[in-house]
Amino acid sequence: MPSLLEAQERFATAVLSAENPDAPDLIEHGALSPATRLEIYRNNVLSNYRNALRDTFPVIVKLVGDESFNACARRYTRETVSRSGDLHDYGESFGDFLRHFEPAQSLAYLGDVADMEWCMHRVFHAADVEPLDLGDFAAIEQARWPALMLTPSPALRLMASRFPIVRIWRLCMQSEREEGVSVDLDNGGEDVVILRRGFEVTLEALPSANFQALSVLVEGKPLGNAVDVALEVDPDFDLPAFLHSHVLSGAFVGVQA
Amino acid sequence: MTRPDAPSIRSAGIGLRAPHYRELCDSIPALGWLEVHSENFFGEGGQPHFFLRKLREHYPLSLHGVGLGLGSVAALDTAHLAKLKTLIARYQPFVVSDHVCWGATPNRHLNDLLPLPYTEEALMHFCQRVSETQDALGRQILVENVSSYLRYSHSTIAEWEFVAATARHTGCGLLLDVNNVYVNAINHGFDARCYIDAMPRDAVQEIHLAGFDDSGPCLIDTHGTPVCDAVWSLYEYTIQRMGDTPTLIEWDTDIPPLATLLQHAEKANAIMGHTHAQPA
Repeated sequence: MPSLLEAQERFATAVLSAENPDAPDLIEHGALSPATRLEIYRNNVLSNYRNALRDTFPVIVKLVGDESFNACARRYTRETVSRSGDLHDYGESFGDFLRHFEPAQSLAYLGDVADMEWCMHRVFHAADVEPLDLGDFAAIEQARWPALMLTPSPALRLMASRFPIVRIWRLCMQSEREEGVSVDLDNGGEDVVILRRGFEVTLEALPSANFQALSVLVEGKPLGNAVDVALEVDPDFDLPAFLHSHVLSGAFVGVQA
Repeated sequence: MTRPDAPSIRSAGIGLRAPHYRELCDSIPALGWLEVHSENFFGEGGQPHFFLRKLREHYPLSLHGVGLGLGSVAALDTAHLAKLKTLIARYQPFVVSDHVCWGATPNRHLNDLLPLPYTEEALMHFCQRVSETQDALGRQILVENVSSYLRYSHSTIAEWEFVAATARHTGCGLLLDVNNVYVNAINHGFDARCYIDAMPRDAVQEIHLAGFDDSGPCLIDTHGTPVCDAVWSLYEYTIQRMGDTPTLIEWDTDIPPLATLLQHAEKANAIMGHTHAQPA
């Protein structure tokens, strides 16, 4: 008699491996063959992963179509072990997988779009924290601003891409494509802020100076460093406008002098 | 017929799923209670918690897990358990449940409700894990019988005996899924009523009703169709035997309008109102 561990290991191998080895002596025959019975579990398990990935990556589904997406999902599931009993944790490396998936090589931007959708998924479920209060910030003497350190919101992610991923995302999400709207892939990448405001997950492509400054702040460095970095990129960097649009916008939740 | 040992809730409830969040909040229909999949609320904030917090003000809540893998030989996932514990503290559910199944090897999760071989070894292991979980959570849990599409050739215990023994050995409660009993009775050829008869009456604290798919080689538990007549009739039999018991209408795929779920809940309430438990 196989031990419980042995039975579970053999069952898992039979369900998940690409070669479909049979584990027939483990399973009663009855009206259906053991192979048919295992096939039901194989379908259930693969469709659980496929549905979880479809929920998290709706724009990838639109970009490649149902059939190709399902093929990607099947292959990804074969290669990528699930480490959590919570399916919401599955799919973090899907972008990386797409970057290396041979049949997807003609759509080089897929990996980055998937990474952005993963960030959106995480941000959707992130903790609710009150944004930094404008009054608290204004009460601090300006002379102390360079030393200020800001706490990023748990619902904030930054992502630099060499592709125009926000434009691609918007094009996919439009229910009816407007005449003449297209995305020129040669037109450069986008530096993206992913932020949940209330319940809405927002995407915004930022000018490089603003993005660099935000990145410095998110790393936990003081505002003075962020300004230095931004001015290097753009001598006309406008600090008050930056604070208004990107710091006091819900992206940060605390300030330390 | 009242059951002094059971929670005061004895009516029908429905599974809370995202497409119905807003409509439920806006209408707050007459309904006994709500159940959610615990893992759908393992995130810390955002829309899911906003709606659940609102609805919790109006309805008792049951937390139903699909991911603990109580029968897995792999180590019990303490991070998963910690998230569940946080969720319990946050929402004060009247019951917390998971399944009589396994779902992971030491190397990976399979993220499905997989049937156990019903052996002495599996029973001891499962009971130990249920006890560990109850100790960690500081409360009783319910375990639910799962539907299955195979039986292991080395099983030595009938499924219903295994499920009943779990409650006896650990003091856990049972979540009796009447649809799963029916599906397994058809798939494996046993008498569904004998299964119900084998359930220790005092341990059964919740019932699930759902629909299955019968287009394949055997009945598949999809939670995507109306409860069928045969399952309603088995439910009626169950209520006659158990007395009124919190009953969940469970629908996870092809989710219908809220009204359909409420009609199902009404029907379950009507059956409870119109049947009388036999003396124990």
